[in-house]
Amino acid sequence: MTAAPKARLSILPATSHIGVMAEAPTIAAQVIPFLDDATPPMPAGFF
Amino acid sequence: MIAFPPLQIFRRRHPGVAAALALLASAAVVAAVPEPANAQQPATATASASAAKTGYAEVNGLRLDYAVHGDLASKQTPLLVLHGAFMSGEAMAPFVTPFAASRPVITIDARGHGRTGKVRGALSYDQMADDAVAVLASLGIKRADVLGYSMGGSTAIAMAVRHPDRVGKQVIISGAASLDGWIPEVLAGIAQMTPEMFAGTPMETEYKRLSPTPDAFPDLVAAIKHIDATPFAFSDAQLRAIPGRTMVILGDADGVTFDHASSCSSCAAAATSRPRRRVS
Repeated sequence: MTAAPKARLSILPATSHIGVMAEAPTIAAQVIPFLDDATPPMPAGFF
Repeated sequence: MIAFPPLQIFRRRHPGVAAALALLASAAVVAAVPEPANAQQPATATASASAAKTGYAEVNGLRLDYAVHGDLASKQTPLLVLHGAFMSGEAMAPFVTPFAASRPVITIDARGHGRTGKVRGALSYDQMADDAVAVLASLGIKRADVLGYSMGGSTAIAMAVRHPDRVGKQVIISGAASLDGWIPEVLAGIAQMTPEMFAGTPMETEYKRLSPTPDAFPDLVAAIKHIDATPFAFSDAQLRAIPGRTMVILGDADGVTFDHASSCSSCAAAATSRPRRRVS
């Protein structure tokens, strides 16, 4: 995956419906790159 | 499922209701979650505490309360944050601060909630979506990214379906595109809720603190029960027609099923890009 995908799916571990609200920092760290169209990082050493 | 003291009591007496309450979102309930030892912000921090602009918009026969964090005149795409049932814009403070550093953030108190006050008639996602779009228009915002939690997530989907040219990207957190996206036991528990079961809970306390109609909490309970008993469904075709990118976020012990969230994400991934209409 080298381009920003059209959709993203994130499943938070050990997290209930209300527990999601306590995960704002984790969620923000995932959502901000999505909102900013950041492409996923490409690790070195593969291609 | 995280256990909250009030819910532990409910769980013994009303197990179905306890499950439903645990799955409904409440700012004050969130405040009951033990903070990590290194937490810098108090759990009760409110979104409006740092708001640059607060007010209300006369839309669709209502005075909808809003708060704007940051500068709408900046060139950054605004982010609209939509709260869940029994919450308010203030309750979404944890989702305002991290984003407001890089873009303007708008919160709304949905009809029947927070400072917007007493609900008139039944709630619907279509109606709340239209409300949100009207607030954006009143602020001169042509298009915004939208982040919605729970009830706000379903409202965000309705916004993107009904007003695709007004929504940029959407982030659906623990929200459903159809009523059957919820675990049946949760809906069954919600159906058993009564206002008395909320007596003394942070949910009721926050409502009374914020609402211009503090005695109308039973009306909100009735409205939430009604919307969570009323079938709705955005089809796969409607989800695939949403032009903006979508992010779906779910807890692995959520009230929305994993299969439903995965299906919504798959539809969004299969969406075909199409030109947007110019929004004037």
